[in-house]
Amino acid sequence: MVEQTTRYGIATTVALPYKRALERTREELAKEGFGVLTEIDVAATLKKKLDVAFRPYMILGACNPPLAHRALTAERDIGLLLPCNVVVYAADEPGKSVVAAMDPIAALELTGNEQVRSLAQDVRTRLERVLAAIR
Amino acid sequence: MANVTMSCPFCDTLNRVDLGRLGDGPKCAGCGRPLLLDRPQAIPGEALDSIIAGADVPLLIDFYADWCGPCRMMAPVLGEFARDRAGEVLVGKVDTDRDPDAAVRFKVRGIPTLILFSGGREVARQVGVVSRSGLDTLLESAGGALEPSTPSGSR
Repeated sequence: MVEQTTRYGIATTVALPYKRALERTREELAKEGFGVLTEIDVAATLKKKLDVAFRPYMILGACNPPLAHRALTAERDIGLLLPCNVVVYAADEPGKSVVAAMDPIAALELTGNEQVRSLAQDVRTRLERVLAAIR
Repeated sequence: MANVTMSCPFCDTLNRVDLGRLGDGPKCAGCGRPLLLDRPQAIPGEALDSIIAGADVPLLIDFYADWCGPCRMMAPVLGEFARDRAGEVLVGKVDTDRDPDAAVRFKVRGIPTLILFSGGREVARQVGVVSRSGLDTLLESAGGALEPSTPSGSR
């Protein structure tokens, strides 16, 4: 079940351990035309920089090139809001993970640009399908 | 004589150890390194069933994660418990990030979860942080369910 869990994101909790959830997220993103441009291993970074333990947590920078191109053409500075962040992290319950995506409608609303807004709906629909397909 | 089965933290070899002879400094049959059973033992998920089945004393397993604050609070308490009650109880810990399948198999819904096993089966479960005296109580309260090797008042 995909839910709007914050004002800025949609999420689903899946019955998959973290590593498996991460693999499945990449696969489903690819099916919707999203490549992963950046990967930030939050737990490893915090361990290295601050020597603190944090739950397994990855930030993926997902990009659908044709949609990104349209958005950038409509509004040059939209790059400030790209790529679309998707996070995968270990849930509190062992063996489960949370996969969440930035809500493009909420984020792109900031632009006030009508062309960008219609793109946002398309991106959101794809991301909802991605999250719903992870199992 | 109370024997337990324990995996070596260095080479994963399963060893059969007599808890009555902990003072003799048991060593791993595989790599020769010492087996320090007076402290919580890191248990790989795949060895868990053998260890549960092979314990002649109650076995307390802590399902935890490094990033879990309450788990970190529990760690020194469990360490003290394992040391003070060495020979009476064996304390193990399963990293739920490393072995999520083990956590799922034992229906662990939150961490830390402590499960007390005796005679090869679960006899008590504690979810969340518990004090040192709470651990003692957990062990004693499960006494009725323990193997009849040391019945109270038998002497």
